[in-house]
Amino acid sequence: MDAENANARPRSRCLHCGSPSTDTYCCAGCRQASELGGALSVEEQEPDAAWLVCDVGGLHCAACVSLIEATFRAQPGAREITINPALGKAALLVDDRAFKLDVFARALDPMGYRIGVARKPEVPESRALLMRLGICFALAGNSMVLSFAIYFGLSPADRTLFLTVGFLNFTLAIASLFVGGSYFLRNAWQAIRARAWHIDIPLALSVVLAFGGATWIFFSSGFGATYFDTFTAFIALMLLGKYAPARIVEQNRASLLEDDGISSLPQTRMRGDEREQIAASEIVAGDTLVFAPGDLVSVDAVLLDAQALCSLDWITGEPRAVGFVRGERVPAGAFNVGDSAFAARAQTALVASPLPQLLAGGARTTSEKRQARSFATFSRVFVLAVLAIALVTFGAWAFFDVERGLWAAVSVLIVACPCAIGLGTPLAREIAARRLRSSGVFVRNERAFDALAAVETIVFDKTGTLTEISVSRETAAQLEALAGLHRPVLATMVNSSNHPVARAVRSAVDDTMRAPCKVREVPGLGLEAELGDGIVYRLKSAGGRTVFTIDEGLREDVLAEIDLDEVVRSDAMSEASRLRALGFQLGILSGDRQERVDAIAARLGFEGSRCIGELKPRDKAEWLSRHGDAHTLFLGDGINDVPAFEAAACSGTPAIDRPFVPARTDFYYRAAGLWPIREAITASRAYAGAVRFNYGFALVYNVVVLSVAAAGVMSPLIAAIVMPASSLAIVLCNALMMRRAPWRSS
Amino acid sequence: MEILLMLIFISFVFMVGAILAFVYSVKSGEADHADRLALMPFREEEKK
Repeated sequence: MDAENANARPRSRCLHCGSPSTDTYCCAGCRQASELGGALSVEEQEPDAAWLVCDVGGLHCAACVSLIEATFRAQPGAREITINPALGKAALLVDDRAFKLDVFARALDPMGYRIGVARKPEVPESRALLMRLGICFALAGNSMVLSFAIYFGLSPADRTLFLTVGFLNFTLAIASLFVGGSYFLRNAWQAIRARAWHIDIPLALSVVLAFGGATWIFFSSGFGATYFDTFTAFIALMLLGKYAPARIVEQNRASLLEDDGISSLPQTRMRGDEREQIAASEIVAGDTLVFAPGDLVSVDAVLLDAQALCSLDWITGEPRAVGFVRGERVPAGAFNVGDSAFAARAQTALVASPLPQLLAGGARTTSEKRQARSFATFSRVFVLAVLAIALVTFGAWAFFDVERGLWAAVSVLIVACPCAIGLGTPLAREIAARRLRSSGVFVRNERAFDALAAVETIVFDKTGTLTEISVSRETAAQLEALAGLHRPVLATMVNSSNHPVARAVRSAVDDTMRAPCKVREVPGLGLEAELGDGIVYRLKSAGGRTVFTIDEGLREDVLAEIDLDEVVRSDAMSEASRLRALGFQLGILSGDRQERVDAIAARLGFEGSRCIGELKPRDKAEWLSRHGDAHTLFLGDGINDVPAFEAAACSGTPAIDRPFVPARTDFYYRAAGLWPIREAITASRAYAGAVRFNYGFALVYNVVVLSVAAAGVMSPLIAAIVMPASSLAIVLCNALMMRRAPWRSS
Repeated sequence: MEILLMLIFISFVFMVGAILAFVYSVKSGEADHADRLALMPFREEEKK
């Protein structure tokens, strides 16, 4: 930044966001947003609100979510929480001033949930459960062996041995209650304190009833009848039912978070006087990075230039631009909304950056909040219904046989299982997301899967989505022949901008060349580079042409004419025919001339009535609102597509390196072709099928097993086998269903 | 019958010993990856 700019003081407010500004708009982003007619209006959000992304250990079933949410809501400064039970991750929206994470962590600790910094290596949560599980199986095994003595005829006549065996069995049951039963009792107690209806409440009640019943029968029968072997086996099996999902959650977390798509994000690094394009994963602490207007800051970095203007939209949800001065830390996730590039020194490598979490999604949408609330309601109703059925079962049986009524009620409490909905569905979603990630498709929010599964019409923006811009062969030769400083200046200019034309030219010049000039983006006019002595280079549009000029004060000479070719993406034709064959209606909404849109449409075989050119951003949104209803997917790549993203039922973009865009879509992809679109829809349909299966399974399973248990024909031991078996079955079914889904074959 | 009581006592000592050994091995992390093969159906195919 030059001294004049550095010393400039705000004289007025930005017309769009209201930030202090020396001009009508504080930044190019606000100017563009304002030109879009307020489509990107500033959201009213209280200051000091911040998202925290944490790992949550100890999640064993989706019902745990309700308990953690209730505890969170009781904390001062708590706003919103999103928990992913399949990944064991939580995103918290909190008031920075009032919320104390350590207090929240201490409140969760007695419940067995551990909350910590995301991605922090930790001792596996399942280890403590495995310990309980192993001990309880040992106790159960010994209890059974002792019980054999009674089953095979040990009688009260052998008084010493009879009593020894009976009381040893009793001791083993008490040990099992302390080691294994305490796990359920503690969870239930914490849930009751938090007034949340956790599935461990009926399980804890069944533990108490089973132990109490076995003890009562033992003492009332003169130490002869023993159910302690049943009780210890039942505790061990129930722990197994908790341990298996906990392991799967851990495995998911380890594998699903491996790739977040950000690793290959291109960044510019200074190597001496030269610039080099590297992948974000190559950044090491101490690197000097250059961020062009529109560039995303991938790691925390200290500003080296006099000042910079960045949006923290992804971090705080606040689109307002924030100024930074030399020496200040620019956080990962910020992006340059100023009119010139800035240099900053990386403080960390990508692995320590919070950017992957930011990219994964931010605030929950209304439908996601509704979904979370509906699960909390389902969980409450489910637990209350199970308790009521158990009570009615015992009451009905008590008229005939109290002992049998007790075991029937215990069986009801044990065998009910909401895992199909609570665990199977999130698991299917994570598997779908993981498979898409491995194909380079990144889904940003949960509603995208539902919306994608319902898509019937796919509408594309043309330039940048269906087609790519590149310089013609003649232009490339012309740029190669530029003499003296002209070529390094042009390279510096195009490396300092993310404009599509600059990106196209970048491929035709040596991008390691650099000239000592100050580059700025002039919205609507192009790029300017000042070399000193009044010499100004421009890359601009003039008379329908794109030209590279030099202005030495007296006159402006054209150094090169940039002739741009628009080519259809490599697999566009084959993918268009595949999508048509799958029954999708395809269309184009473009700001380009109608004849060019018609030409592309004819080439790809799109129906003419859905291919419309010369549309303003708002016109695209209106067209989608009129024609799209709830079944339209819109794909675009520019800031001007944002209104259309919001109007469509679902949206996607290939523009991963322009953070304005993917931050406002439901998914993004990094492949050069169009096949990720078909991939995303196929995955979403497979997920929708898994969801239908889960609801059906949950209904059929619970109706059948609860009826059998209430009828008194299922012992608690069988119930303790059936319940975890159903959990494992649902997990296995979801994994296999998603695995066998018809994924991309190419 | 006394010998049976003694055998029961000895078996309990073995059980406690086995539990202690199990606790030690779990704490050492030996069981952290014990189920890797069992969980393979839930994991992705190896990238080609």
